[in-house]
Amino acid sequence: MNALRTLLALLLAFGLSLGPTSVAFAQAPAQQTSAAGNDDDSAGDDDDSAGDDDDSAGDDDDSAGDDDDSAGDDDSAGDDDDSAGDDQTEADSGTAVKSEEWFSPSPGYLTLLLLILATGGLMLYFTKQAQQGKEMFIRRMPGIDAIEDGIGRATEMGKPVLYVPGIDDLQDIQTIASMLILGQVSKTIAEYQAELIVSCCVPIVREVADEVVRAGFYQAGYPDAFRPEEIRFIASDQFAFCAGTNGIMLREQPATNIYLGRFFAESLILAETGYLNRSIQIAGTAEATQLPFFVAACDYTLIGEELFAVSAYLSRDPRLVSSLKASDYIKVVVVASLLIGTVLTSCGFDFFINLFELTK
Amino acid sequence: MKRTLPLIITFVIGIIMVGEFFIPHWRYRALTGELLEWGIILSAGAFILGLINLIQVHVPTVVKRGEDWGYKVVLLGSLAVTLVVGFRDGTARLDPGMEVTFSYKWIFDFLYIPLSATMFALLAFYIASAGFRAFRARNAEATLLLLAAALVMFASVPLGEGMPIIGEYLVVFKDWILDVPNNAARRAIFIGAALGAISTGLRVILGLERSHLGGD
Repeated sequence: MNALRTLLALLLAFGLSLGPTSVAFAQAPAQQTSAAGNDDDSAGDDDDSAGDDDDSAGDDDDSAGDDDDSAGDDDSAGDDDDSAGDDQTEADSGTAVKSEEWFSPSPGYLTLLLLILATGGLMLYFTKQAQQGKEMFIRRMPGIDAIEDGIGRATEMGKPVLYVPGIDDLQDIQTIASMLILGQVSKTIAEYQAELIVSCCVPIVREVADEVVRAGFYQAGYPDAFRPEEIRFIASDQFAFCAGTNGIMLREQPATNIYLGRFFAESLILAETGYLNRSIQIAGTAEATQLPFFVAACDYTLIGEELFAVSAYLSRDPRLVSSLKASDYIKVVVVASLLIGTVLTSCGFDFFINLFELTK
Repeated sequence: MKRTLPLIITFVIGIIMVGEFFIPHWRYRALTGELLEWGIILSAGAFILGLINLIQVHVPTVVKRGEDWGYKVVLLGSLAVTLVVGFRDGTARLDPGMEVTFSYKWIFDFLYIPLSATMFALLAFYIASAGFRAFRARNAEATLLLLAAALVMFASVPLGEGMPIIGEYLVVFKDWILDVPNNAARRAIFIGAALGAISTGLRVILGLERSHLGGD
C-alpha cells in the first residue's frame, strides 16, 4: 500500500513538472486521453465512443448537435483559440489566404447569429418580466437538490466536500459553468460552516476558483472561514491530477464529491474511488462519452444542459431563471426547425436545410 | 467600480470573441488572435502561481511532520529534481537522436510515461466494477440496458460475428442500436447542451450572471 502511495506521489510530482511542457497547456484538452479512446484528435471527437457513428449514422460531421456544434466542445469556446491562433500564425507566415470579407457568405452564419440574438433578446425580455415581479417556474432537479443535501451531510459528518471543476482550461464553457456553480456551492458551504476542497488540474482555473470561493465565503458573511490552501492545484497532467485527487479522497475522506465540468478518461477513476470511499457523489458534464461512467458510479448525474442550469437553479435569482426560460423557447424553435427540415428534405426541398449551411 | 469594470471588460471581450466566429476578415482575426495570446500568456503565468500553491499546501505538512508527510517529501523532491533537470536540458528531450542518459527525456520516457500508463490501466478494472453495478437487472430499464449492452458486446467480438445463421443479423442489430437510438439520444444531449452553453455564455456576457464576482 505504501509502495503504491509512493508511486502515486511520484507520478504526481512528475506530472506537475512535465505536464506544462509535455502537453502544451494551450492545447491540453485536445490531447487528454479519453476512456472512449478516440479523443486524442480533439475533444470534439468524443462522440466516436459509440462505435463508428460518424460513418454509420450518416453525415454526422455536418449535423446539428454533433461534435462540431456541441456545447462545451471545442468549437464553442475551447478550440476557438486554436483556430484563431492558427489563423494568426498562418497570417504571419503568409502561407494562408487572408480573407478580405467581413461577413461570411454562408447563410448558416446569419442563421446562427439570429439564433444567438434571439436568445439574448428573449433573455433580456424575460429578465425584465422577472424584475417586474413575474413568477418564473423551474422544474425540480433532484441532482441539484442533492448538492445542498450533500453539503448538509458533510457538515453533519464533520468531513469536507470535494469539488472537481473538470480538467479543461478556463476557455471551455463547461469550466466556466462549473466556476459559476462553485460560487453558489461555496456560499452554501460557508453558510453551513463546512469545509471545502477544490481540486484543480489547470493553474488558471485554480486562481479563478480561489477568487470565486473567496467571494462566496465573503458573501455568506464568513470571510475568515476561507482557507486558500484548500483550493489546490494538483497537476496539469490528466492522470497525475487523477492520482492526486484520488489521494485526497482516500486520505481526507470527503463526505461529498461534486464533479462538474469537462471530464475525460479520469471520470470513472475518480467516481469509482469516491464510490469505494462511500461518498455521496454528484456529477455533471456535457461530455456524452463520460456520462455513462458518471451515471454508473455516481448517485446523481446532471446530463448535458442541466449542467448549465445549476447556477440559476441554486441561486433562485429570477433574472437567471428567466434566462433558462429563454433557452427553452429557443429549444422549441430548434426542435421545430428539425422537424420542418426533416419533412421538407424528405420531400425533396433543400432550401430550408441550406439555411443552416456553414461552409467556410 | 470594482464590480462594474469586470462586467464591462467581460461584455466587450465576450462580444469581440463571439464576433470572431462570424467575421472572417484577417484584420479581425488578427485582433482576436492577439487577445487569445494574452490569454495564453496569463495561463502560462498561472503555472508559477500553481507551483507556489503546491509549496504552500505541502511544505507546512512536511515541516510539521503531519500525516503522510513522507509522501509529500517524495512529491516535492521529485518536483525539484525534474525542474532542475528540465532547466538544464531545456528542450533537448525533443531531439529524437539524443543519447539516453539521466535527462529530462529519460524522466519522461522511463518514469512518467509508465506511471501514467499504470494509472490509465486501472480504468479497465474500474469499468468492470462500475459495469457490474450498472448492469444488474434491478428493474425494467436496467434489464433493457443489460440486454442492449450484452448484445452490443457479443456482436462486436468474432464469436458473435461468426455465429452461424444469426451472426450477420446480430451485427446489423448492433449497428442499428448504435446508429439509431444511441445516436438520437446523443444528438439530443448535444443540442440541449449547445443551447445551454449559448445561454450560459450570454448570461455572463450580458452581466446577468454575477456569482463569479460574488453576486450582486
